[in-house]
Amino acid sequence: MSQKVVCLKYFSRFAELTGKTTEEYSTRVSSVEELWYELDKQYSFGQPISTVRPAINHQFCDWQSSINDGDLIGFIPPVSGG
Amino acid sequence: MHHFELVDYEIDRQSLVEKFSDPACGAFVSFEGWVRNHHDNRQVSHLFYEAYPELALNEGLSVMQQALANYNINSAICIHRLGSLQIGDMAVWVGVNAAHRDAAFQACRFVIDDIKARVPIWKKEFYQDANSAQWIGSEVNSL
Repeated sequence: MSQKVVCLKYFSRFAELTGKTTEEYSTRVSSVEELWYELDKQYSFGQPISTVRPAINHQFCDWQSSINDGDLIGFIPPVSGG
Repeated sequence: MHHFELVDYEIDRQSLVEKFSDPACGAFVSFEGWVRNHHDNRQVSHLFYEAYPELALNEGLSVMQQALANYNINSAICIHRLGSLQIGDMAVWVGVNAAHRDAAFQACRFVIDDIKARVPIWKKEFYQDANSAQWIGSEVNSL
């Protein structure tokens, strides 16, 4: 598992919880799912993974998607537009 | 024509309606979402809308493309406002035109339902009681 540096984006409640809207983050995990659990240990999002959608480089993706150095990754809490 | 846009200013319905003038269309249907003063028996004072702009524009455009592909309509536009909104403000506007009314009604309903379900936009409600607020959808008090 190689070291990667990604840019994390936080929105709505996740931005308030982390106190950040973006974060440069170094990790050795391979998938966005592993990254979510790693971050959840740090920030305790309090949001079931089944209600969150991951996105890589401004596109929704699967939880098993691989992450690469330089990726821009967002975890999308339940939406409530309209 | 199809269009999805996020704006941080008051939505001008008249200028939007004028875009739908089309001699081939006998039907125009619009939906307006307004800020109401109550939710779950609590008095709402105002709202704040936030988006993930790049992803919201991708998803919003996809919704509009699906509306055109799945219904016999000519044009569809959706505008969603972001930022701080007061009671009575328009948060979202959807317009659809078609040769006949059935397709226009159905497509308009499809657009607002899908925008609400899948586009990364979040609403924070501020309440009159106890200076409290919460992000809708996450159900965790955040202030």
